[in-house]
Amino acid sequence: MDIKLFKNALFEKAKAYGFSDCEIYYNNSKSLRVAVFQKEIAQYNNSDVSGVSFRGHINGKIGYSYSEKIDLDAIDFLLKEAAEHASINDGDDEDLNPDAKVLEFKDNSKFEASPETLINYALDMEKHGYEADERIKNIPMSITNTSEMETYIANSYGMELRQEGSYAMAMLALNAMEESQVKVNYELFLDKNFDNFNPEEHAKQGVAEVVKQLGATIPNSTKSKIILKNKAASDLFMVYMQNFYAETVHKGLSLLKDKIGENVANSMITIKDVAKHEKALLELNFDSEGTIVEDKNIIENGVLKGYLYNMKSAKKDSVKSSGNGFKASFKAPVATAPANFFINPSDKSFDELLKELGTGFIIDNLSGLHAGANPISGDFSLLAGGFYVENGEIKNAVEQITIAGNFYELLKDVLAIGSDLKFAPPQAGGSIGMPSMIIDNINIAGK
Amino acid sequence: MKTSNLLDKQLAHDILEVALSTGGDFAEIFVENTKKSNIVLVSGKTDTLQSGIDYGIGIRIFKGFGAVYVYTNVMERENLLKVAKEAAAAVRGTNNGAIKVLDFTEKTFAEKHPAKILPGTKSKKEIVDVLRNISDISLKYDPLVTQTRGAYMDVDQEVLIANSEGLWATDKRVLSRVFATAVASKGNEKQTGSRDIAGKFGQEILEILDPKYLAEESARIAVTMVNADMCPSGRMPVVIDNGFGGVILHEALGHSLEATGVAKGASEFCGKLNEVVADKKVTVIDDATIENAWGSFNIDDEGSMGRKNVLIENGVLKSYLVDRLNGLQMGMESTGSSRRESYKFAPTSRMSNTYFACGTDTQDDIISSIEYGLYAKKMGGGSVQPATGEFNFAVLEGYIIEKGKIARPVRGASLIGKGSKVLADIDMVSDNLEMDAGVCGSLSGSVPTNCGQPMIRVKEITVGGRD
Repeated sequence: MDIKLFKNALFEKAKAYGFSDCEIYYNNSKSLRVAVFQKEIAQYNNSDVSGVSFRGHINGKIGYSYSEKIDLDAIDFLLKEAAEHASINDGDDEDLNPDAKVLEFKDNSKFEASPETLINYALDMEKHGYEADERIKNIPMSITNTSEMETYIANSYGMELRQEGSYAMAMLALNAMEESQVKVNYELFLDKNFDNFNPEEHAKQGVAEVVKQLGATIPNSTKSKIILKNKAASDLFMVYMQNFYAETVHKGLSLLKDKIGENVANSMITIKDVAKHEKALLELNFDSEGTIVEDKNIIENGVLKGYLYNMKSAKKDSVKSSGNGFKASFKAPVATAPANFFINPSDKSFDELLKELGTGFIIDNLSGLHAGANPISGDFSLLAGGFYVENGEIKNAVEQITIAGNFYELLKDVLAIGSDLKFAPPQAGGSIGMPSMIIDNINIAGK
Repeated sequence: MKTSNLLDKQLAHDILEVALSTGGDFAEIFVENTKKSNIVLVSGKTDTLQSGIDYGIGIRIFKGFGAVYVYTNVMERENLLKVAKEAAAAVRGTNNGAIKVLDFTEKTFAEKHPAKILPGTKSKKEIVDVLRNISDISLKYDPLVTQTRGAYMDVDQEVLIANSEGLWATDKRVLSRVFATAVASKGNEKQTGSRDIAGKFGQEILEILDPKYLAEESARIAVTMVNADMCPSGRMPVVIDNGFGGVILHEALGHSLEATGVAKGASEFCGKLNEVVADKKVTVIDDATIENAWGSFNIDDEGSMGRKNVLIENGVLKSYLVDRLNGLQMGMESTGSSRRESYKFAPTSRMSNTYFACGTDTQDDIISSIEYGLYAKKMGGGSVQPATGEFNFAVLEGYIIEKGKIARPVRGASLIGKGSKVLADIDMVSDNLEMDAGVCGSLSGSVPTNCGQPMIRVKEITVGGRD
């Protein structure tokens, strides 16, 4: 049913249940995804899914609930569950946003891509993939995907906010083979507009990435300088992101506690979090609590300037929310997440980074992040792949190595930053963008 | 168990008919109405109190070896027929409507995993009190324990699966889990330990669980690890203990036996049926029928009966895990292994309760056989690349073995290698089989799975550490 009608009915009944204030958070997402395998459509997924969550205060305590059923029958469930949750809630209180603003942010880069366009693109990309190199023995997936989303927040204080967004994705999974060695690469392409994609270019890029991994050997264990490629850096930061949240600091789980104003990183590092960035896929003008996302420096020339705040953690520190009170989905409670969080790139090309590295390794993929990286202590030990570099030249690919180190030490051990800032796919809230970086003192475990 | 009202039979029939109108070979509907509840306490105070309804429909059409999948939660007749029509438009068939939708026959089966106390029966206050008690015991265990996290979750999923071959199957799946985590701190160092209980059962979990065990075991691991030195790296023999140690099997072998990868030639076990792939001491089973086990189910998400599949018998590869769609491509029958997180995912071949069967070596024999190596007592999660079998997982509780004796705890270790190699290198298998719950994430979303094994010895694995 229409979300505004649903909201009115829900708010009306909430009063009768004894809620003193309340909020509805609505999300709709539409996605079209095509996967091609051997010139056939292997998967075609089309979705249109909505959900709402409710929260409100009753007897001074907040309670949550959610539903994917958006009809009048769901209202009693939502209110009854939220009321029971409020009645046993002895955690910290959280306020609803009393700011009665009404704003609407349209999607500025909206595009049209028909199912036919997506299918043909995936077919083309697969074809060019096989043509680009005879060592490509299998392309398990050639995928195109478009996503559209809408978020709507309203509360009983009169706030009403809407934000739209969309982006396109293409992915080519490639298996290359030479002398019984198999190498796999998933090349992911993201853009605000599907029209910017070119299947032949994507295929060539993907193929180049996988064939250069052939001939990989296991190097001897050593301690070395590495170039951490942009994508791998984003993956690593994803695990440690939570340490920048005031919420984590308050729980005593972040080692960045009491470090504001101190050097926590090499002085060449500046980390920002902003509502929009030309390279980021989504604009995030407000967070899930309805706070306007503020552009800020988290680390400025190596010095920690502040944390990411939601309303609850901001209240604790008597500051304003930084607009980072995002929910992972409509089902999740308000937590903290970045909007568009990135390390400021320099103007150094990748070739310049290679020269500066001299001898060491390029690490361009990391796996097992949910297992091999301890988000609290900062220790990580991760399966990695990449290349051995000697005197600024790539010698050969390396495989089956682990790289080990500590995130906090890594921030200080950055020796150079590249220009190739790249944002990862959006997660809860926004996304993380990183340039490639040279890092010192990484333990490489191989033979 | 009967469920009703998920979808009108006539409407289901009409949807399937529209779905097949452009030449699809087979069409299927999956509808669910799922209530979930989630309670988290941090150091004894409520942190997350959430519950809700997941509700929607997924429609799948097969054409050749490909499939179209659409899902929505706008459940009005008009929209569902529109969505089915859009899905049908993506089927590039020529033989329009050649396949007819057969009349539905209700599938009947015995409930093998009854829930004694349905979710929503006990008050949330009672659940909070149980978690708080666990937290109190943990915090008292050792002064180094500075924080706890206790989590309770339950799921009550009603599903309907109907297909163009006349299947009409309904099921109710109830799951519960309680998870206790302790954090130990020493200077800047923090380490966590956890222990859980989980099953395909209801709120009787609150009566079955042993609060003292959950609290003390999680605290013991955290305290042991915070006092441990960093693990040395290198290649060495590794002993992997029972229970969640089976994650090595799950990651290194299980995923590579899923038809998802095998059908596309993207598994190192392709074309190896009836070949020797492991030491003859190794037998691997995936069993969805274990009563009330976390990874069990009556019927899979295509409506096939869950069953016990022997994957490797005495070192010989006997079976893959096969779903209907990939089975077509492989020329194999479904093994009742098709699963999905929710209507938002097309189902595919997945594991249920997967374990190494017992061997005859004793645990003492295994430990004392090692001059220098790692004893991985408790494993964490991991990941695997099915095409190459390369895996990586974390050791949450580890010890160095020296001269046949467990010498000292070490932290920060991870195990990396290739599945086929590790499988071939397992040379001792003990007799203390146990299973532990995990949540496995893959193509069709996150599904509950059990990992299990007795203690095993692997001749040599690369251990990633820091020194």
